[in-house]
Amino acid sequence: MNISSPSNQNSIFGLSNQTNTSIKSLVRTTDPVGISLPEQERSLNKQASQGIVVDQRAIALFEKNQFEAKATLSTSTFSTTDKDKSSPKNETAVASYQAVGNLAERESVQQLFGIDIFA
Amino acid sequence: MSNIPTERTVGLWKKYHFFILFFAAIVIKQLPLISIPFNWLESYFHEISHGIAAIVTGGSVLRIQLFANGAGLCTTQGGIAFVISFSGYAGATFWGWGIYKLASAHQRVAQSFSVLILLLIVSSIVFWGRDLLTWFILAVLAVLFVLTIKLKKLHYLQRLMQVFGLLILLNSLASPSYLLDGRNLGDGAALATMTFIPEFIWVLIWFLLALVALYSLYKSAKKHN
Repeated sequence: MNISSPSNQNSIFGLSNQTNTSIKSLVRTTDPVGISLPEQERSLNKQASQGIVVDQRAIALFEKNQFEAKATLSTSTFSTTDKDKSSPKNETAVASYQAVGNLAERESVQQLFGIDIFA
Repeated sequence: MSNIPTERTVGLWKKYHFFILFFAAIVIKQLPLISIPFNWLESYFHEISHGIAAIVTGGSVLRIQLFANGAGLCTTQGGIAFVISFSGYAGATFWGWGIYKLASAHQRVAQSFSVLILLLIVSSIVFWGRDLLTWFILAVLAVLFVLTIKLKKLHYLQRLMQVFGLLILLNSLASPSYLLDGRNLGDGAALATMTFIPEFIWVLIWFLLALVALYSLYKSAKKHN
């Protein structure tokens, strides 16, 4: 039963999303020849249940891998260097904010000194 | 025999010289790089008109700023705000009309007037220019007038000054329409705030002034023939 070996299946289930398809193909390929029908059904069920056990472990491992991947992703997103970097959008927003501030400042200076600006 | 075509050319020039110069000004205005100094010229006369109005009405000019795209700013202190605001576009029209008219009067008058404008530009560099870009633009305009003064044949100086005058007038015709951008900025908006007369009325007045100035030049050119 090389095919149901958990160690071999880990990487496959862990990385691909086609878990169900893989199980079906496993069942089909292990179909023995020259065995009576009830016996065949029983062995199929056994194999199927064996497959599910393996799959659950693999799924658990897959989930664990996914969780780890997410954790790595989140740490890289919120790393200190990235936090310090400002996006061009933010820079535009800050520039607009400062421009408004300067306009207000300019107006107050104009009022203070009685200066007029004509375009 | 060879004199006949020359006489005919002279006759055509005498008859249509206003339209020929006007067409030349329109062509120059459309040329991408060559038109830039002439846009600065109109911008300078606009700002200096604000400045002169401020001085005439008892105020003073603190700074004149010119920008590469043809925009400009004139910072003044005191004076009558209404007169200063109105005189920007109206003044540019008057300068354009005056330059053409004086250049048409006499070759020596054209030369003297050119020297006078050069002196005005130089004093603007000294007294009112405060930044590199403004100094550069004013220096380009000064060189333009130095070149016209240096022209050996005064006849060409006369024609060049007339083209300058028409270019300033053409810009004066088009520029006020830029104020109708819905942003409520500029001389039109300032006058609207002061007088409660809508901005587009002021734009219309400036446009009509430029049109009347052009028509006056056309009439005097026709009379001269």
